Amino acid sequence: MILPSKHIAEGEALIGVGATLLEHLRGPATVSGLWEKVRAEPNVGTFERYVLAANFLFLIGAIDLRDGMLTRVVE
Amino acid sequence: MIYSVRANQPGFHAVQFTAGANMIVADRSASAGDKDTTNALGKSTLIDIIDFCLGSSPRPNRGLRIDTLQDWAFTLELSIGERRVLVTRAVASPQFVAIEGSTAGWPVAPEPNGDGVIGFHVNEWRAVLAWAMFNIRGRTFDGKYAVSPRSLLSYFVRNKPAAYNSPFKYFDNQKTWDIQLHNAFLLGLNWEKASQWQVLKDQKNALAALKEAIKTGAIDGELSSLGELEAERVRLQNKLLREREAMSTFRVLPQYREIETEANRLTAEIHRLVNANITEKRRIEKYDEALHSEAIPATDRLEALYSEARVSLPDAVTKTLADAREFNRQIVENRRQFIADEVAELRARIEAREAEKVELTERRASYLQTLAGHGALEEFTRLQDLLADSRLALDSTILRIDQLRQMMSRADEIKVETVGLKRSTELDYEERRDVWTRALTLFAEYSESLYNTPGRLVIDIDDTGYRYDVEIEGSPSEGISKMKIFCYDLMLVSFSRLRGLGIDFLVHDSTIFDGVDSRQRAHAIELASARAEEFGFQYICALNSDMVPTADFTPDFDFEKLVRLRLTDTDPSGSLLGFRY
Repeated sequence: MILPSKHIAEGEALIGVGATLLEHLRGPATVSGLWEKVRAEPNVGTFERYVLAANFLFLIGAIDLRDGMLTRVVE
Repeated sequence: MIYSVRANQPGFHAVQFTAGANMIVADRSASAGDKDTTNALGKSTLIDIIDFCLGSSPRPNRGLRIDTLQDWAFTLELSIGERRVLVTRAVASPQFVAIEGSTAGWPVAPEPNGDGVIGFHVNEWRAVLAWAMFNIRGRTFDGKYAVSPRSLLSYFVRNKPAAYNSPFKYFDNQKTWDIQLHNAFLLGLNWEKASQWQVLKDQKNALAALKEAIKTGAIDGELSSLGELEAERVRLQNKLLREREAMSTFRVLPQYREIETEANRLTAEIHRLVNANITEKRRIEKYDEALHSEAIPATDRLEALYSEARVSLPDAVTKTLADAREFNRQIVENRRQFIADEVAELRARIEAREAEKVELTERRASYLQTLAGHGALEEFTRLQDLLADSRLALDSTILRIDQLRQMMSRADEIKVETVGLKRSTELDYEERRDVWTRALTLFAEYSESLYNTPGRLVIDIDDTGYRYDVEIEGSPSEGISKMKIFCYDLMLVSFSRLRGLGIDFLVHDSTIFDGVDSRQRAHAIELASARAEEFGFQYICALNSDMVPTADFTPDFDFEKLVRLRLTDTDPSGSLLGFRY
């Protein structure tokens, strides 16, 4: 589900969704706030996918939850 | 009596008159053409001059008042009462009449003017003539239509062709009352009745004009009949009653408008609250939907994600599965809390609005309660204005009803007065029978001597006043109509002598004989001559030489003896003024 493959289209792959989330996450945002921003993007679609994409970004250390807000992790 | 006519310029043919008949003859020479030439000799001018000296009012640039005669002044020598006077009137200053001779006993005495010449205004000369010729002293009558000495004199000095169309008129457009009144005077009838008749006619005409004006709406409105006006009056009275009633039950609330405005504001505010709550309730619904539709990833999905990440991007994954589970839990919790907070906030706001709505609704209800049964001040004022208008309309209708009633009763009054006037005129006429019978008799005699059958002078009294006519048997011709005038005039002067009036001359222009048979002309001249001697008056006549009925005079009649002046056209000096103009 993460990378595009024979079964998963580029638009469906979570990696794309993660990129979209990061695009909209310039500064710290609440879960609902970011959700409101990205829910209209065609590759996001549902809240479930949003959450999965957020989880993916967390896994690779791209974002974290600090003071209740989703934040980019900058090294 | 007229003794002479003179002028201040040389070349004028002065003429002297005596008692009885006096003839002025205009000689037509063989070289002359038609009638017009002999008129230029001055026959008519002489008549005009006599009329002028007797106070006529010639208009500027007409008759004698032309530039050619600017320097002329004419003098008439005549008797006033027992004495002779010289009367001089200048063409250039016709307002002034100079008098020479004794004026003792005159109602107005002449005085020296600015140049020391004794005389007076022509109006005063006319007053003297009124007294001397017709026994009219001062203003004997206060009415609008009074006897005028100039009108009376015009029957004895018929000047201009227009005076020879009808015995009773001395010019064509003479007014009816003028004809009725002056002929009445001369015939010994009650002339004041003619005056009263015209006054009644004036009133009748004025009333008719008023009625017409009301009918054609020139004075106010289409309702013209009494019935229509009365119906309108009833309608207006009822309207007035209703409006009074409305006003008496009207209660003015001074702050009506302010309270009304406030109540309206509250209504708008209440609507705003209701709408806001509807919107926010919808938002709560949407959040409910979100809660239900937002699925969270199942645990195994999360594990699958973790596994796949470890496989596809091994170096990238820096967190453990436990970390991931915790992260996920927090996200979901975060979202749920957010929604719960939002919904709670919305619910609180909705409740607050509801409470406010209730309070505003109560307040508004109390305002509406206050307004009920009252009215604003300006509405009351408007009602007052309407009432005033209705009052005005009613008053004006009542006024018009009165006016119409008055008009109708005035019309009836005039009818009654007319009948009364006719009756009293008839009675008066009967009382004077002996007087005017003599006039009728004279006329019959004179016409008989001309035509062998007595003519008739007819005096009638009808609904419009005196009516006069003369009838002489024979086919209607120019000649007969002229002789009717001749007989009438001769009768008038004879009759006046009998009555003791001062007028003692009759002047005719040659027009009197137009179309008249030679025999009648001879009879006429002889008749005039004889009667003039009998009654003591003077007859002056101007005629063309070729109209002198020499062949038809009776053998004893000496026409030549009567000629006082001959005018000729062989030379301009042969005309009256000594030149042609």
